[in-house]
Amino acid sequence: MSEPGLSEHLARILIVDDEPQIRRFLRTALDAHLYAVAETGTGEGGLDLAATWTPDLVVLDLGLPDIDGIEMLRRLREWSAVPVLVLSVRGGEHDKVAALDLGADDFVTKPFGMAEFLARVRAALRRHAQVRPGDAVFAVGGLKLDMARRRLTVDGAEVRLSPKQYRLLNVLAQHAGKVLTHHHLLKEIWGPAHLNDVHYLRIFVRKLRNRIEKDPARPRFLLTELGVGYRLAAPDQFTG
Amino acid sequence: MISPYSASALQTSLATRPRGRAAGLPADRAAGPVLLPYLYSAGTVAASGTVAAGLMATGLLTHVTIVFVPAVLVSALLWGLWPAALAIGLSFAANGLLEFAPMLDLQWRHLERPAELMVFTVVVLPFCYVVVRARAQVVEARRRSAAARSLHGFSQRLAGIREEYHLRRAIAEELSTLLEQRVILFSLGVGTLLPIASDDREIPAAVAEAARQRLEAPEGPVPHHAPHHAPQPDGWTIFILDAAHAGPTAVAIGPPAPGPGNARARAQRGELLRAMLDQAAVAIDRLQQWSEVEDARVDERAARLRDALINSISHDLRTPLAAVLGSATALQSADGVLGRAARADLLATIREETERLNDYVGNVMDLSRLRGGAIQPRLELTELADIVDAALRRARLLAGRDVVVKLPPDLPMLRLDLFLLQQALVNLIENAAKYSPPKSRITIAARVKDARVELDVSDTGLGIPKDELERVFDRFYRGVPAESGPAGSGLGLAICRAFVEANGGKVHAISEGGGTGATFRITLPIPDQAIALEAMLRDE
Repeated sequence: MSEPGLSEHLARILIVDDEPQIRRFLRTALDAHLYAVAETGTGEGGLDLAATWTPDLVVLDLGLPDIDGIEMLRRLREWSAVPVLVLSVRGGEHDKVAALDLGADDFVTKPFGMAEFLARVRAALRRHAQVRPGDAVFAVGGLKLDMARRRLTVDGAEVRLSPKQYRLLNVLAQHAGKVLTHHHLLKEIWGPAHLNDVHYLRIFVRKLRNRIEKDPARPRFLLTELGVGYRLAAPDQFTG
Repeated sequence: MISPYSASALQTSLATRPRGRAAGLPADRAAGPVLLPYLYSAGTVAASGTVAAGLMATGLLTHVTIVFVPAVLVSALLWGLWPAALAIGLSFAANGLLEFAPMLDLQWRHLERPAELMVFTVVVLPFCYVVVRARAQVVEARRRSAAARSLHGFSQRLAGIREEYHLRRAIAEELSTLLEQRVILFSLGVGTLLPIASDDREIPAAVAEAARQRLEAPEGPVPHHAPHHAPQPDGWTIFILDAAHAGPTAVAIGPPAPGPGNARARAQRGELLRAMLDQAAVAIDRLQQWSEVEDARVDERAARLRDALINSISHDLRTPLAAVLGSATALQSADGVLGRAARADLLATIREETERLNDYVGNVMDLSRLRGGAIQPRLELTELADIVDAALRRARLLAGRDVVVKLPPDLPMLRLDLFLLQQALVNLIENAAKYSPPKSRITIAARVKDARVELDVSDTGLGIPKDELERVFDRFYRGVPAESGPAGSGLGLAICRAFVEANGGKVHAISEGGGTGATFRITLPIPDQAIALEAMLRDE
């Protein structure tokens, strides 16, 4: 994934953020963790560097001075599948959803802690590194989903799901660790006619949690991103 | 003040108009009141005649003229002079008829009849006069009291209005209803004429122009409400209301509907109108004064709030900033000599204090959203469990806490704004964490009760004294003095309450005080739709 001569670096990360102090501490921290870093304060600059410097991951702030972060993402996605980690602010759920629907991988809400940020970076890089054409078995905590046999066990005990519940879990498992927006899930499971029926999804998530979670009120596997969507915890995100 | 006459005269004249559309007067009564008294009068005489005939037939009475006296007096008393006159005439006729009636076996009393009739007339006429006078006085008293009632009702209705446009509109409508004429109020805004009409029809340009001239008259608007001697646009009359505080208002009254109405009725209507215009001027003035006072009061409240906010900000921003700056400079300048533990300590301080600052900024932003009722909740069907979970993940100060969540699995879906309720809950959880011993238990429990969902956040801390259970929701209230107690802006619970109420819910505190802990209870309505949805999707 890295060029010769840069082999000491784990990966190349492009930071697109108009605030120099944010860029400065991101660069310092990423440097310290052995990532190669390039940075720019504008969307146009970000698109240029994405084309010429070929990063492995783009960290994108949605509030840019020249072109909107969402707009930059749209243009980037016309020719690149590079993973994108979005930086947003509290209350910016609308933008988060738009970015995720446009193919962003994940988001971090400002202000954020470095540990959380680095975990998201690693997860996004890993998801793209292992382009897996069919890990037939997904396992996290005591949950094990065998997609080939359509079989689910929790702590060794088989759990039966309705076809729609299974479909929901399957979609989430295929993107484990990633937030899937309400729209994404509704389209996958109910089809494009039900894009706005978020309450269907909420009811099914509840039913699914009742089957797989020990305490459905404090879920460990199927996590809610309030106002955005759901995420099935990847093994490295699982907190037990 | 002008003595208020004639409301009933006014109403009578309204009632007898062919259109008869005045409030409370059915149209079919329009012709009735004129003829009915005569019919009643005739009926009374007829009844007396029947009685007289009976008495004569049984021979109890031979001189029946006296029997008609009550009929005449009753007519005078109840229906006035002319029906009484009719009664006298009819009584003469009936008397004659009875005494000459061939089918009755009567004795002739030729010589007595003229004398009898004379006595009848002499006795009855003065009585009639007295009775009619008395009746006129009663009618007049009723008129006065009706006019007073109508005026009183008018000023009562105006007194309840706290908004200028609505007040002016109400004046226009009330006047228009009473007069059955169009009424338009004009006042001068900044360089423009502001018309407020009793109906939505077009405002005649000539009337507006005349009103403008009256209001802008160089000698000042004529300070009483006699119609101006200046020419009035076709049939309209313009009065000026002079309100000392609010500036003048022109009241344009449209042409009267054609119809009967004698000079006296018109004059009486004019009197009432003037009294009402006086009341209207008083109401406009009072509202103006009230809103000036209210503005001053709002200004004062805002100033107090601003002061409190500035105090709070200087304390709550400076303390963490001082800690961050101190720690950072310590790390920078004494890097070589600091032990591992000291470094970790300083770094932890920087992190914690920064998070506190971030919370504080969040609170101030929430507070600014509250100002002027700017919260627009985005209500959607949602799971309470999701919000509780998200709030617990966002809440700080929970390290080492035993947090127990008891949510029944069959809790109905609620119609809520996710983020407002999440923030409300975060504030309650952090409040519980602040005011209870470290590592003590915090319980979050929900249940359905009386078609509502109750969500409790309970701690085992100090509790709240009974008389402060409501005050804890005040802005800048703190359970303990700022310097000695836990850090906080004193805004958390105020924001919590505002956000819960924006969701159609309520929040209150329950505590026995004295170290028994406190429970904050959010009560939320259950939407009908939730139950139906779950039933619909049960089998999928």
